[in-house]
Amino acid sequence: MILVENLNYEYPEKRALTDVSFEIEDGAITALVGPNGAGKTTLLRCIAALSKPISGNVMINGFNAITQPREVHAQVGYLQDLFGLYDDLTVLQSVQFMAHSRLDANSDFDAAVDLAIHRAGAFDFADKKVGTLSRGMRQRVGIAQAIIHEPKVLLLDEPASGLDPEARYALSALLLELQQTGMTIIVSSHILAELEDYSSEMLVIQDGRMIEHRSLTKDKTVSNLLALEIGFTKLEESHFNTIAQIDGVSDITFSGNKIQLKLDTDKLTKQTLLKQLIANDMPVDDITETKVNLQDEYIKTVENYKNNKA
Amino acid sequence: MINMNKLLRWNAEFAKNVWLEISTQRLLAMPAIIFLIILLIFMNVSSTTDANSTLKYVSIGGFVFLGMLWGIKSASNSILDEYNEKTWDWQKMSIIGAWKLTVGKLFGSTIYNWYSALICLVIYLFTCLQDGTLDQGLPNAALLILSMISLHGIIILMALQLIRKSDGRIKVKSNRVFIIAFLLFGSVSRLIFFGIFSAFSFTQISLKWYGIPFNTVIISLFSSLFYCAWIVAAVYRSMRAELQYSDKPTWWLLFIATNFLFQFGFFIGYEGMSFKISLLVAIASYFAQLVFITYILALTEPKDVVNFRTLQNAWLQKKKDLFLQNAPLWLVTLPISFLFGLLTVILVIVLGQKEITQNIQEKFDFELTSVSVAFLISIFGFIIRDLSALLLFHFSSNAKRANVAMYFYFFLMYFVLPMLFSGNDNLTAAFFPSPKSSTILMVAFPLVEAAVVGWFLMKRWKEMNSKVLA
Repeated sequence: MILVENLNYEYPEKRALTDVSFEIEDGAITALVGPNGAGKTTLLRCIAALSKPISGNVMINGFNAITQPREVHAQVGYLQDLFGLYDDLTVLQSVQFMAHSRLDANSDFDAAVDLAIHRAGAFDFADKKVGTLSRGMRQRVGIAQAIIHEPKVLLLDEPASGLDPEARYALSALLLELQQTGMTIIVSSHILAELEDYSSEMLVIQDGRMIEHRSLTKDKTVSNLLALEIGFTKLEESHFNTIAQIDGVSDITFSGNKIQLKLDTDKLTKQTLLKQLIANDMPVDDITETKVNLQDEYIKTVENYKNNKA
Repeated sequence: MINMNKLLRWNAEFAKNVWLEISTQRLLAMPAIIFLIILLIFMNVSSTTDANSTLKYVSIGGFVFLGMLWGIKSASNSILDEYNEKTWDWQKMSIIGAWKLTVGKLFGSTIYNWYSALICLVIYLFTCLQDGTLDQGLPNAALLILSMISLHGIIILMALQLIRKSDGRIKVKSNRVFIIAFLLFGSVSRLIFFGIFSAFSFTQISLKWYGIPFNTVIISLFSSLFYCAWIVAAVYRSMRAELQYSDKPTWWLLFIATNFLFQFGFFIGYEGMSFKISLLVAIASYFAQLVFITYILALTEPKDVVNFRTLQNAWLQKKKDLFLQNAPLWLVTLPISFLFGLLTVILVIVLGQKEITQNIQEKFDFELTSVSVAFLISIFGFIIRDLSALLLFHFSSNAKRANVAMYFYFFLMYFVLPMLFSGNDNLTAAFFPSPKSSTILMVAFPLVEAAVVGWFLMKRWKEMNSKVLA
């Protein structure tokens, strides 16, 4: 778990982070979004125990990033935007070096190197020198290096910038795969569309302040609302009206044979709603959670922040 | 061939540098070039004796050029390239300890320079064997090796200082390291070569250390080893700081103490001096050194505003450990300098003018009788004034030029202005500690100047904080 409390970070001429606090649960993929200079990289570096804040606390799985930075380093994999690779080493040498830098002496280094290279999809070019690789390939090498010690927390700073669509798709797939292994991931990016594919949470940062932290499946900021889409074999007006009257359902709209709604999980669960629909003899053929549109939500959040500031 | 798996397990940083620096072609090229040079020498000299003598000088030249000078580039790049190419973060997060990182950087990044230098050294020792001077050649070789480690250690320390100053947002250029390194090499090379080429004509001369006579060769080797060990220790401590350890300045204080004890040994019984007089001379000379070190550290250490804010908070919240972990070394050295200054004054008063004049002034032309409490206050008034001015420049909007402004300030305050008032002892007390001026002026000038500069510094500090916190 990542716990950040009242984090303040200063550069000589400005405060980069002001009173940032949030908590991220295990296994989440959090999209860290915000404009250039908002403080995203600084925040990631503080979480990675690479930069010391002037005040506040960062806890990674119970380790304090300020007083126990070395313990935190062991928990975290951090890939910065330029990847930071040795151009004159081969991919295999780079990952071998990283394995011996990050794993303890009793580890099976060869197995770890093999796993990381395969996971990152860097096997096909493992013998090539890093300096000869494309940006997409370099990113894979960077990820292989960052996950070599199977960290509990993976921090990626703008990993997709400059990547072609195929490489972005591969990155999405890889992050979802890593999430399945229990890794908690924070990804900062400008490209919101790509974050939408794999993020389960959004953390918005602006002017060094955290202005929003929400789930992208459950709208936690508005009383635990869960966005759902219900598919019908044949949708009729009476179905729509019946559902609209159920206590705990709001924001109901329809398109074709599908109804979109928000469910107040304090009053109703997805399962109990489904039971009610079947009890009312409705021809339901599908019920799925829908993600909140990241782009729209981000713009809304930033606008609210600007209005409140004004 | 080298077993890379074993090397990786021993020291991953060292192994990585072997990968980066060593290749079969490079391993073969260097001996081939050296062999050609030897061939050239033998083709152009008339006798074997001449060839041996020429080869001896050329091999030492080769060691200096291929090992020491070329090594400057390799050593500084081992830090600056990592930093500029953004690989430094990986290193900071690795589980490689500070000692392994120190060894990996100091000897791994310069592995090819060591390879080349050691070939030259073997040739040098062979020439010594040929002309029967191996007993001189061996300590010479040790002295060269220690000098090379020390030089590269200093370069790595400088590079680490530079990256600490740049706070990760801009690339660090290596030009400054090279310029300072070559100046440093230029200034110490005379000492090294004096040691190598001349010391053996003094092999019968002995120096006393704590009253025990030692051969000059032994003393120079021991001194080199002492300072080399401390340089390596300093690199280790800097690496720990980079690995995010929070250390108190314990090792720095230990260096100050052991360095004093080391130097004190040379004063005991020197030219028949009594213990008290030896102690006074040792303390007085160490006081001057500490003041100099304070200035050098103040000019070279990062003067990060944020660090000073952390210091201020730690001071206000009475967090002693946090304060010491973040205190710059010049700030730690300053009170110790004062302590040594105070001890000097006390010893001067206790021993009395007559004894000092007879034992020190007449023998060594070393002025100590004018040292008084007022003189000490004057010295520290000027130090506080200068350090305040330094911080004032660094806290300005154009902090990049702060050190240049400071050098100009020194030139103005300690050279140009005193020259203008050189005839008037009382007025010169306004620019540097002047024992010839009246006691009141000697104390009043520096204190008033320190207060004025200090006031401006506090004003800027408050303005700066209010801007950031707004």
